[in-house]
Amino acid sequence: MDNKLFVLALVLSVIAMPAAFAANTDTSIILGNSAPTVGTVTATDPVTLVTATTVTVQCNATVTDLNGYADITGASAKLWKTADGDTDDLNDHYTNGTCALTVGSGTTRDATCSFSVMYSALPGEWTCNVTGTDGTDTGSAQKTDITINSLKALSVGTTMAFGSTALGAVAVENSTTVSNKGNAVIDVQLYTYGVSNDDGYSFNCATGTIPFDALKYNLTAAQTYATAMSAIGRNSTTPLTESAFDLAVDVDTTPSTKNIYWKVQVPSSGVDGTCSGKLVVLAI
Amino acid sequence: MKKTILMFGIMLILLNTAFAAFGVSVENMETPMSGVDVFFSKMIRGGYAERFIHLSSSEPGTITSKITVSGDISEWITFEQGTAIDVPQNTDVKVKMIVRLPETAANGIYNGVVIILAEPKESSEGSYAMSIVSGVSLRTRIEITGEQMYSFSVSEISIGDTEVGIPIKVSAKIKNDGNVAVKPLVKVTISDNEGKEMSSDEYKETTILASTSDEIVFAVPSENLKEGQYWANVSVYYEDGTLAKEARSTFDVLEKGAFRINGELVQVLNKVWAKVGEVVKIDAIFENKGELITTAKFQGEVYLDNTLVKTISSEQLSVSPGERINLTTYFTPEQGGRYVVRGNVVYSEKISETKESIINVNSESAVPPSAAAVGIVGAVVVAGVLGFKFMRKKKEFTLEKKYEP
Repeated sequence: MDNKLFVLALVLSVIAMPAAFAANTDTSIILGNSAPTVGTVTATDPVTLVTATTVTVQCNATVTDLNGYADITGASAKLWKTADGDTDDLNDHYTNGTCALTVGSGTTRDATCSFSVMYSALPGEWTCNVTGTDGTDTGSAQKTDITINSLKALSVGTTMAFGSTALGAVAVENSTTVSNKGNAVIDVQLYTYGVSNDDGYSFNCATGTIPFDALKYNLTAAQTYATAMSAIGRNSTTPLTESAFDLAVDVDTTPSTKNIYWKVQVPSSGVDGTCSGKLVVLAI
Repeated sequence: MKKTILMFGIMLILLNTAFAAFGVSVENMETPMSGVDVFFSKMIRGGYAERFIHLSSSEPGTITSKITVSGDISEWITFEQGTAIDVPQNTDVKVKMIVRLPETAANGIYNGVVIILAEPKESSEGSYAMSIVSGVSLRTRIEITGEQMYSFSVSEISIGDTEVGIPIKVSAKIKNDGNVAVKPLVKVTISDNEGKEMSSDEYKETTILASTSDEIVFAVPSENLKEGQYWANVSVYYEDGTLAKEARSTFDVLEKGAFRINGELVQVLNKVWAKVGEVVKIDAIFENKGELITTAKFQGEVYLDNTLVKTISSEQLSVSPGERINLTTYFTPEQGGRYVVRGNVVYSEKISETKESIINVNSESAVPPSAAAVGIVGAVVVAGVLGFKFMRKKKEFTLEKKYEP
């Protein structure tokens, strides 16, 4: 009799075991952490840069975390031209490690990732990706492509003074520094006039004028006026194009500049007093 | 012979030698090609096209930029903002460059140059110096072809809510991708929630010129619509009657003055991780965005695995215009799992958008064992006792047998 009871107890145990553990499932739940995921990324497109300063480019996305929107603690984004893994560089790579997050609902929060993009950011197709984190896990990134438009821009001094010069003499050499303030390699076009475009002068003096071709330039300093320097154009329709100028874009934070050296020969007669004129420097 | 001395900038130290940057960017350069900055391709005689260029300057204050056009194209190009344009410092100034071709223009390629100069803010006259003017030269090309291209794309269609008696605002954003003007036909059909057609309307008034984008906006009468939710079916058609794009969306016809009562459930906020048996505070953050004071009450439902486990609601509170308040409720999870709190705010007989939050509940050993588990333990104990008794009896039997006299 006792043997039968013993066997019966064992059988009951075996039968009850799975049921018991199955029934216990909802009393032993340990929820795992879910890594945030990122939805479709939208971004400023196309991007028009502003000379000598930055513009704001935004990449936005919805970040989802199955543990609830409040579990999403951060979002980050990268904006790059060449490779995601590059280090930050004003020409082609930007990072925002702390995107702004909205309050959220359910399992989602919207991330707004802003970048201050410099005028020297290279033109063409860029990629922006957004990643979400919950403090424990970082989800995979989503990305979108945008276009940065080309910006032709330059900076030059606003005046150039040659000082006092005797009649018939060549004035002391002067120079202008041209800086690239855009994202495209530029050449320059040059022309001069005394008072109005195409008047044929470079200077208009109290008495008389100085012809446009008396003003000469070279990209190297201390050249001989008569033999090694060139005249420039006399109006906007026939400017001198200096196609060897090739002023590169700033490299990261290093400015890109080139000098143009100038000399002017004063006529030996017919002019007197103070003189003024216009020099036009165009980026092309 | 008397030697005359000329003075070029006699007071160098007083001269303004400041550096100012000026730049130009061209939008949507459709065919980037060497030696051309702006290209208007495949235009037709008498055709129209436009392109935006962007001017910017680092000069403090505002400079005036002057635009000139030379070459074959000079008579065909104008600028909507004129040719003297103010450019404030560090600002993107958008200028519309317009091409209008004469009917007499022959097919071919035409080139020209657009020069944009940054005029110095102050004249150099009297300064005894050579002023330097910076600028940008844009090499511009126009291609004239005999082939007409009719094409447009619809990027977005939207239908707005309205009040009783106020027309429904329908809009469609359209980009003309061809080289001739387009006049899309937009048809709107309004139906109720049962699908019964309530009204219909169509619109074909807006002309969109080649290469331009525009938003067609028109009002659909709503006289026969009472308060409630309706469906709008909006279709945009090409000239030949083929469908370009269609959208279907709901919209609400609200009581008169309803837009003065407006509120937003900003967020449902609670602890993300909790344990079984823990009281979880749930805050519904509500903002009165209308012009009138309103009452507000959060009402929500708590789901576990898509099963409703509890309804919750907050107290009803008054909210002033512009005020943001917390409508608080509490929930105690009885078992582990991922709970969804879903709810909205009822305010002035209106209901806000529904928002959700999640509560992740870990149970661990906080819950008593089930009856089945009790059964297991009981069965094992019984088996142990019986086993012990059996072994003991067997041992006694063996001993008795061994020492039997």
